[in-house]
Amino acid sequence: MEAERKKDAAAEEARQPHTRACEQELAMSWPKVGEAGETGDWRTVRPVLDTSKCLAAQRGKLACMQCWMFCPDAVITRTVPPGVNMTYCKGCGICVEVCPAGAITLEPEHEHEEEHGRDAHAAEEQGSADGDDQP
Amino acid sequence: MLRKNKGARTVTTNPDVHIITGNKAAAEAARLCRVQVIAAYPITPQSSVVENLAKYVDSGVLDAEFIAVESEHSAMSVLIGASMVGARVFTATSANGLAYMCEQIHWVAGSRLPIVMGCVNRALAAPWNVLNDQQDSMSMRDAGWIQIFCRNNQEILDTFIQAFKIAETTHLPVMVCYDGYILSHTVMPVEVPTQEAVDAFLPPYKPHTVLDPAAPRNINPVTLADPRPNADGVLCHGYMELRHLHHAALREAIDTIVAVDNEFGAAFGRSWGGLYWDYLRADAEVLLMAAGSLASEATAAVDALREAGVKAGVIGLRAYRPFPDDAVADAVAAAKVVVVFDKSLSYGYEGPICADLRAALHGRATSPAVHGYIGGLGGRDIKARELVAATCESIEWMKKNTGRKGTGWVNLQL
Amino acid sequence: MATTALTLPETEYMLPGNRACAGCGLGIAFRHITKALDGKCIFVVPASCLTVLGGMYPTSSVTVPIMNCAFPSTAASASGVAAGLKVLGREDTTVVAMAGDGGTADIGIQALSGAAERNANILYICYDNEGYMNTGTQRSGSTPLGAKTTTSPALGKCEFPKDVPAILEAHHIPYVATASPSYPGDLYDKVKKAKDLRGTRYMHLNAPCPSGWQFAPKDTVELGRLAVETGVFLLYEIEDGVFRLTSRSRALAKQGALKPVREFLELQGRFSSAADAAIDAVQEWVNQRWKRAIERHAE
Ligand SMILES: Cc1ncc(C[n+]2csc(CCOP(=O)(O)OP(=O)(O)O)c2C)c(N)n1
Ligand code: SF4
Ligand code: SF4
Ligand code: SF4
Repeated sequence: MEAERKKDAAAEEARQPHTRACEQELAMSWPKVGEAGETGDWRTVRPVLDTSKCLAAQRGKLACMQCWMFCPDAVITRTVPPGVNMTYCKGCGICVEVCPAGAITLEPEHEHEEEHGRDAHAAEEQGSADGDDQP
Repeated sequence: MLRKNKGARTVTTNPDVHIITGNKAAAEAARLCRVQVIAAYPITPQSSVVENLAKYVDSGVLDAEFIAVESEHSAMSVLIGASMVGARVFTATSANGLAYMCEQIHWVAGSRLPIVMGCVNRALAAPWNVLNDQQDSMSMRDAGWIQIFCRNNQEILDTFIQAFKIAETTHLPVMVCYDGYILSHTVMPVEVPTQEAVDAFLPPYKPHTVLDPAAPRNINPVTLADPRPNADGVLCHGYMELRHLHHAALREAIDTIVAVDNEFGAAFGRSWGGLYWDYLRADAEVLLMAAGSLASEATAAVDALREAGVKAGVIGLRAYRPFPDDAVADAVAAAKVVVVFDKSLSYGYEGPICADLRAALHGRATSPAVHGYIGGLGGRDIKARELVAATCESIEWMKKNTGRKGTGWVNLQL
Repeated sequence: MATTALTLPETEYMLPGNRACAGCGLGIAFRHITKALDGKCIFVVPASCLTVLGGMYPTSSVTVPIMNCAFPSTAASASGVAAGLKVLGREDTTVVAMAGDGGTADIGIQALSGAAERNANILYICYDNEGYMNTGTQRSGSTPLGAKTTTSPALGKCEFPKDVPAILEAHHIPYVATASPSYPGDLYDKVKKAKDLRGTRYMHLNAPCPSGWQFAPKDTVELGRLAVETGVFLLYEIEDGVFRLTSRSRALAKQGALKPVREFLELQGRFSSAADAAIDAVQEWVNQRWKRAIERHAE
């Protein structure tokens, strides 16, 4: 949790000044994209789409969309061709496995970085729901 | 019992006076408060509270959902869910039922839900004992609820009506405690107010939090140690800040309890003393202090002591949490000794009311001695004459000793 | 017509950047459950991975309301929400209790049984990742025989899992169904059907969990498919007492055969030291269940 605290403190500084107008008397949360931060940082591999193989792209209309349907993080768009939000894609590789056309491959993140530079921050401690500090 | 109802005015010529048990008085109060969801599980001596309410709902006298759950844990869970979407809710329990609910008692308080519950005080097992003492509600002392003790059946009915108002004003749950059998199963004349009068006193519940798909909040999620910013950059209270606010609300509730009791007095012609009530306190050198029906019994002991030339009086504690430390300390300041009778025990220390009174008096320039007695556990009868004997023992001890007297036990037959 | 990737609604109720592990089966399921509910719902969630997915205070990664509740209380808390909505005239909102297998098969089963017996107006969804995952992969009443967990560390679990849908069926509730995130159309259609029924509706989801089952996150969907294709997990629904296999399980019952359970088990680290006898026992357990399912299946 120390890392979490440091991250919070850093985020807080970046956002200065915070208003102190919190009126909560019980704990309530509101929706936020990137609740756990930029989960793209968790990736060690990234999905790369070859549009020449994608069934939807080939047909030029909505088709297949298995990648969209199975992405556990809702970061793929149901578009032609499908797009991936790399800020939050965790690099699980499910889209690669479910693609019937073999249109998506996984590239090691470091190779990709060497070629294109990294868009997000350096990878930090990988957050996960599996741990001791849970309810 | 009515004879001992010395803190309050009673009207016996009123056609709205019914001769009813404490449990019936509690059910009548819930009906008058138009509770919308009731969930309960039977346990002696609470059962007839909810049997009566089930009857009201079945016969259409009360327009509410009655949910006969499979446990007390679920009873409180149902109330949490219903209260969270904005319904006024009610339950009652005793002893092991309260203990079984324990997790949810804390959950309610942390959620700041204005849930009102009757605790029909009964001894906790093991061994089994269905008779009265106050160990059950005392063991929930630190859960963050308001706890109010009643001395007679009229006070039970009136206190439940007050309790909803207090709860909905402070956003704190209220446990109305009354002694099993001694009050729950004993009939007394009780004036039942009209629905119109109660409606005028208690407006419909306006929830402070509504779960609604149109405003998708996530309530009671995992919190971390420190405040964190929300999506708009507002730094939101952390767990500790929320606990502080909860505590502050309980401290502020000291005034609310008094205010609501006064308001009730103005509306119904009866009030109950707010935080505590007293009897012959003004010139008393010896004060007997207790909560619930035992405090009523103490008035008879005081009559006997006065006849014997002892300037005695009574402090009957109504609010136990929040503890009215200043009010009670002021009230006993002029006495030489306060003899506190607890029907429960903080094992390994002393009676909880006694301990709290000592702490409240600590550091004051002048304060009376405090002598604690444990009595009435598991239904052991405590008569006025035993209270007199314990008080005389205290007075004799004071003549021979200084310092702190150990805890005495009333009518212990070892 | 069964719902497909092209006909599922577009709107998402789960936001990107949440706290679930990469490749979490629960995430896929949650997306399609909320799509089927069209967002008109209140979730009641006990301590579980779903709590974590929901996000840390004061931010939430879902756009549906959630009431977190005590671990043993899910069904009771949800029936309270339903009762509250009823007295307030807000019955157009579906109350969804959603818990893990620990919260359902173990600590929450009393409250669930009580709510089902009362036919409380709730949709209860158990996502079964076959262990107490968010506390670190301990054994639950739903952990399969032979699976290693942190509380069955050496031999793996020695008992068969509880058949929770069968327990719920014995409560004579209007709807009992199983589903899997590997078959989102089937899952979506069942939630949609359940949404429009009254009373207690129970759904049991197989939720492959890469971290607890010890497999590569990319294989989540494949694991869910193999669970069904080996018959370890059956897709069915029981509507007013009538049992029907659905989706892939129905197709397998009509033609073809189940794959050997070994194909499913050997992909998972938690079965890595399961004895042959244990695997045979699981195979026999599957065979018996499959036989009974085919006998019961009504077209
Ligand atoms: C009364 C109580 N006991 C224990 C816990 C600790 N606890 C929190 S979550 C959990 C396990 C949850 O397992 P499951 O329901 O299967 O959900 P999963 O984590 O697998 O999603 C436990 C044991 C608790 N929160 N409350
Ligand atoms: S399925 Fe996994 S790898 Fe593919 S886009 Fe989604 S999160 Fe990224
Ligand atoms: S799964 Fe593959 S083929 Fe299908 S839409 Fe996605 S990328 Fe294209
Ligand atoms: S532990 Fe398993 S179920 Fe829980 S979030 Fe991780 S993958 Fe999902």
